[in-house]
Amino acid sequence: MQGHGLRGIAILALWGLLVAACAPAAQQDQVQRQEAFEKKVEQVAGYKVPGGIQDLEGFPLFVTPDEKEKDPTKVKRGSSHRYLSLDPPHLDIGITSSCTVYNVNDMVYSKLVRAKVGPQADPFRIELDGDLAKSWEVSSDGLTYTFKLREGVKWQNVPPLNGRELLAEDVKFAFEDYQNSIQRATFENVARIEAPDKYTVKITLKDPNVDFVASIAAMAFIHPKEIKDQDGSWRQKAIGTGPFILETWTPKQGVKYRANPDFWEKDSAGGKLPYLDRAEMFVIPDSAAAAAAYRSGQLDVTPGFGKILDGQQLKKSDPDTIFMSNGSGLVRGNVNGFIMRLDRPPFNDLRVRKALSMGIDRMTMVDTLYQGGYAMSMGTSWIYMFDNMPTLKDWGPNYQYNPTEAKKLLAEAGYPSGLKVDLIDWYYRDPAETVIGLLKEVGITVNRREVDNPTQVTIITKGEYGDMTAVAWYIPGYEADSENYPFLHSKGAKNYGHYSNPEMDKLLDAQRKERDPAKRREILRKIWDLQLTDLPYIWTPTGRGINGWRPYVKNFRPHTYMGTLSCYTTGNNNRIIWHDK
Amino acid sequence: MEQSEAALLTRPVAGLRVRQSRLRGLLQIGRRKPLGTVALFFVVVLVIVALGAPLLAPYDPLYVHRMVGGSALKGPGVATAALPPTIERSPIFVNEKGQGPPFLLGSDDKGRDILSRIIYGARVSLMVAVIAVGMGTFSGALVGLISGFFEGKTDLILQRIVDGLMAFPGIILAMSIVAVLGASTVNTFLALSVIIAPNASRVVRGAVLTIKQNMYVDAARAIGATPLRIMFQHVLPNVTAPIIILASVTMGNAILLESSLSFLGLGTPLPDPSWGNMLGGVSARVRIEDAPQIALAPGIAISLAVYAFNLFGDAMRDIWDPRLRGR
Repeated sequence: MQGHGLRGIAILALWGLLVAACAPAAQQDQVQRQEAFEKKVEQVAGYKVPGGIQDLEGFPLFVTPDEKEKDPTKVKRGSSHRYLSLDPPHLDIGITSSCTVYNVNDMVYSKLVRAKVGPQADPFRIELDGDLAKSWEVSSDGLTYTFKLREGVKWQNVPPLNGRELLAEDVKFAFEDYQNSIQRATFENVARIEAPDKYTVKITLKDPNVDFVASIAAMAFIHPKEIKDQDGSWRQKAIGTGPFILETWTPKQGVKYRANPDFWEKDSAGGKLPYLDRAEMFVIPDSAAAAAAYRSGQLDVTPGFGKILDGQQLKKSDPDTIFMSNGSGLVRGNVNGFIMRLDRPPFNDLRVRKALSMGIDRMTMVDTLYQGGYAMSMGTSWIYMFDNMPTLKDWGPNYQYNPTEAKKLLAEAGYPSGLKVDLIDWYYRDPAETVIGLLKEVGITVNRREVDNPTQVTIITKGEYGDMTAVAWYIPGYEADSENYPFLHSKGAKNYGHYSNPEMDKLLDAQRKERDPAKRREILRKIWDLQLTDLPYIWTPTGRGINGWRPYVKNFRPHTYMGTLSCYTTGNNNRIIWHDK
Repeated sequence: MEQSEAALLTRPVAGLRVRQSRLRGLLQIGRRKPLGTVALFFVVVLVIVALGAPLLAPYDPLYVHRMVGGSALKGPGVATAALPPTIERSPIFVNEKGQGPPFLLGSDDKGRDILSRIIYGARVSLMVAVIAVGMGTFSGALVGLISGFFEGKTDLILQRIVDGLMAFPGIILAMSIVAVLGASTVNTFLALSVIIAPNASRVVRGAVLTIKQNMYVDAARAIGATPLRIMFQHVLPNVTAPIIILASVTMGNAILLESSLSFLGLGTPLPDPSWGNMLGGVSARVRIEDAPQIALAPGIAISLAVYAFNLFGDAMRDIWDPRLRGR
């Protein structure tokens, strides 16, 4: 008997030693593998993978351009490209920044400046590229921006514009209109917009904004005056200078486009863009139906996946699919979480917000919803203030699962027997199921009401959501200011939770003016930290976005700034896509 | 001839039946309608399960069980070349005490106990059977009663409205009503009752038209009874049998309709369990071959309930309908 005991202890000790010896070795192996991977990306793809982002087994972080993609003379023209998006409630980007509206705008309209996309672009960073502007310069005081426009750019040949030339006055009109729109965060700082000649636009700011060019590159589509004069808004019609002409838009079904024959751009071999003849965007809200549509050949690109399991299933059924897993949250962008009305009970009480956040077991969400592949994102890109991607642990005590403290805080806030809140959502329905179950354990009963996408967009924009609403979306924008200021400033155009904190306002104003990158980084870090302690929004993990496409689809590449469905780059990417068939 | 006379003598006279014990009567029905009796048994089980859900369910239907082996996944912030569960390797869920999988019917993809969700989901189905069918049949019967009793213009107008409602396929009408009102359990009941009502009104109207011809109605009118009194005192009691039969036959159909609406995301909103949304939610997330229990359990529950109510309704009709009695 004693012998058995001793043997048992010896086995246990040996086992312990083995585990202790293996753990650092495994860790080291992991580190080495990661380093080797990063080196390979840098060599092969020519860009650096931001710190801490790991490769996902079976779903590569990058896909280098193949021979056909490198050589524009091999392009085959004339295909029809079919992809998936969400149902737009209207077509006016001045009312909402929703990607549902953006992706239609991106097909039809142009901007002054745009982001580089496609196989040659760095999928983790924004590189700016002239769109309607062929060049731009900034005055030494950082207040005046002068854009030189391309000459001979024509509006699409559709009444009432009938192919007239785009002039500096058009840009002036569009930008002045944005000053009173939901995009005003960028434009309310504009003192003057002038058009000294037909092809020059001069913009003078009230205060310096180091992110000004990047911010107009993200959102500021140039809309024509004629539609506004005729209809009073751009809600129903879209006629622009972009690569595609909108043919039909059927709510709940989709949008059909044909190539704009007068589009100004040519590829490096002098060939006309876009390469496609037609493009068709489908609205399929049910993810199973969307996956089935891809499987049966009705779509050329897959729906975006947040779950590794979905990707694995598709890989099994459609092994020829090319995958890329940089779709979301890794650098920025995709956020899942709650917007609460902070100007009234119960969420005006920080203790209640803390209780809600601490009641969510985020790692269980990661395990069950995303099978371990996840990102924590608050919409603000970590890349602006950290060298390595912050992990959940770095998010501080309010983001750690702590049911005991959550119950205590609820009781202190006056809800000892529990709290009932209403939740209106559509985007978040899958994680909502888990979160509602988890919150019930700490005494928060969430009464969920489901609406459709257009309704949710309207409800959020107007702030008419009762206690709280949930989002699973991309923060639009290409730089720190657009990601922070509109959502967190008390006067911000997208301050959907009615948040007001003078300290936050001060920091937001300061980062805008700070031209020293190191000092700005510090301010942005303070904004990040204040979000973690004050909880103006409560974030939950997001799945690691995986996109896939058929091998015949050339030049399609997801970008981590653009959403899992590439929603914020639809037109920009579609203008160079072609089908090898 | 002698034999038949003997048979005649031994045959119980009408009065004797009353003296039979209730139990014996029930047993006799049970022997005559074995399927109906089994159906009744299932209906009773459904009622007990629905009413006793908090006592019977092993877990809270929303409780998210934690996943075993999560530590391997809980590595550095962005994972992971480590070991995420794959299609071949299903995750195992545990409760807060770390106990292994005690789930009788397995767990769903979110780590919730399917049995508990089925038990709580029975409440929605039973409520549909009682509330939606009750509301629909009652309002339909009222319309049918008024329509049949007064005839003339009242009948014409009411029945054209009923025609209008009947022109739509039931599920389409329910979907449009829910689309306008918003998806919720209460709105589903409303939508279903709107579908059920026209049929009830037709059946009751027909019965009222026949009963109105009876002498006792004329007699009541002759002694000066008001139309309201005749309607509720003399006509209504005589049409209760068709109303009850109709309600019991409709219940199965109503459960199926509610499940269809919830399946389409237009009924009970997730995460509250209803059999339809359990079935609908899973089709969007998990392939049936990977985790068959998630779809099979609510599917079987729906089938059983619908069969039970249908067979029970048929038996009720057979017993109550004088033309079918004794067959």
